[in-house]
Amino acid sequence: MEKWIYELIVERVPPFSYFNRENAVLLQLFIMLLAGVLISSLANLPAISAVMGALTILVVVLWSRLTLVIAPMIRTFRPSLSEMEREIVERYRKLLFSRYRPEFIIGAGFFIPLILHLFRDMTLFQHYLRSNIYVIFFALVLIWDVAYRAGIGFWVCIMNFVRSYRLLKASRMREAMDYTFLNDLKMMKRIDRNSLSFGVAGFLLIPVIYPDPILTSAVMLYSLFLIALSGLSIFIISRVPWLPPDMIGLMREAKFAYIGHIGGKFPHLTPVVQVFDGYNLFFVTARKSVKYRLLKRNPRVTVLIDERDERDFFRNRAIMIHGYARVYDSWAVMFNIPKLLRVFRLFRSKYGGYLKKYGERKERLPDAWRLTPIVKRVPVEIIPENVIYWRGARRIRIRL
Amino acid sequence: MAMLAQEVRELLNTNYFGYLCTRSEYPHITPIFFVYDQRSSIYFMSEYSSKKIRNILRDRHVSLVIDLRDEDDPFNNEGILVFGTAKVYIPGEVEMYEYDILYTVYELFKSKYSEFVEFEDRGDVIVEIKMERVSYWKGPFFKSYRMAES
Repeated sequence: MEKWIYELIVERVPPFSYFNRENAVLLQLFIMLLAGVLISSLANLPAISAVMGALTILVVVLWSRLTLVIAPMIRTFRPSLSEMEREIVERYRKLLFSRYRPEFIIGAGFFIPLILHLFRDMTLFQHYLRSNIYVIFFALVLIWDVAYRAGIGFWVCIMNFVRSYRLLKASRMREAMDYTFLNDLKMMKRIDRNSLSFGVAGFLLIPVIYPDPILTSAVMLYSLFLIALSGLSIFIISRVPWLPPDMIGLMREAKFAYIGHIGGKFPHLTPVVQVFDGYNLFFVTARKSVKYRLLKRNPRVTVLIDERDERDFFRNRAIMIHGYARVYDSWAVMFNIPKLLRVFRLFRSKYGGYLKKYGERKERLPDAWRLTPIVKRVPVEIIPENVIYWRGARRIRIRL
Repeated sequence: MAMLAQEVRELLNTNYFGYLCTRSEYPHITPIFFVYDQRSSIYFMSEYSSKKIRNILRDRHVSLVIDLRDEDDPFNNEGILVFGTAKVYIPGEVEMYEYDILYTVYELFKSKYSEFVEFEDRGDVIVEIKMERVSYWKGPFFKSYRMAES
């Protein structure tokens, strides 16, 4: 697979190739700063020029770092178990690392109008460089660095969005056992978050180009565009389920689950009511329960969800999830309010009958059963680490 | 020996499924068919190579849930959580006096499940769960029994 030119430089051109990627970026920062200081002192530039130059260098280095973080992530995806989704990810990867170097073309597409504007307008060159022609030459190198990386950020961001959108659409057409791996979906989200940081880092350029209003609005637009599109992409990708439709159906329909814990002298096992928010499973436990105490001590749990057919035992289906429990008490609640509200809504609609009965017989409820969410009873989310699915006699390991 | 309450014995005698929790790196949960010997033991059969047997051979402490679920009324949810120690009987490696137990267990299985399942001799092992503690619940009502050491 192809690599971006910048990656190749870092990998093959000395002295960068002598270092690992992280240190290569630091080395780049050091060299650029050194050059900047030398040039500005030789050309007798004002202090503000050196400071703003340094800020621009900082942006270049931040963007370099993000580029080097994102690129290997994109190469890690495994072939999805849904054919359509597999093709989408494959195409995403191919386009990002295309032989035609679209990121380079876009970079050039930013660079050319940018220098045309700078030379016509001259505001920035006069402001910082006193129109010194030699210094302008060096500034052009820096401007290219910025434009090239801006090109990468732009291309990655657009590809991310297209990938998320197409994956979500394809995931709606999955067949029974089609799915894309959970960790790959998480990786996509991480790429999107990095892409969002790319946009945020762009704001650091604003003080540099502030004297030039046209350029300022262009950079603002660029950063806002990256932030908005990446945010949207994160939102969309988190809607793509990591479980095949066959299992999601079972998770949604099954009213009960069994929660197993290593326990103390004996293992501990309890039936619970559960909801599935399309991503993970949630149950609720009382603060006074044995379960709560055990989970606080050791969050590792196993969940079993099954479907019993009393007439034909061998048609049964079951899901076993090994994972850890995220208990939403104290601070965890504050940071997850929308998610928890959604979970409570799911409980209300799935167990409407239960809640009605609770209401009717309020006075008979023991303390631990009182429906005072968070105060007496806390939601618990299962973060899966290992998933097994039984369909009749077939045992299927769900890869994450 | 402590006598289990009527409602507990009824759950043990009328339910076809139990959920067994054994321990390894993670807890392991599997549905099982089981029979109750009317005293203080529950028996189930399993393949020797299964995960639960491997777990039990390393750690004999197990728990078992047998419950009735009412999808409309939580006050009707009823069940027991049994804590016990497991013992594996491997055919061909049992003591003379244990044959009686195994024979009885086979008979119990046949009479309980023959309508639904064909029991054939596949060389499965029989596991006894000696109950030590039993928690019973019905709706919000809880009660705990401790079995006397025999």
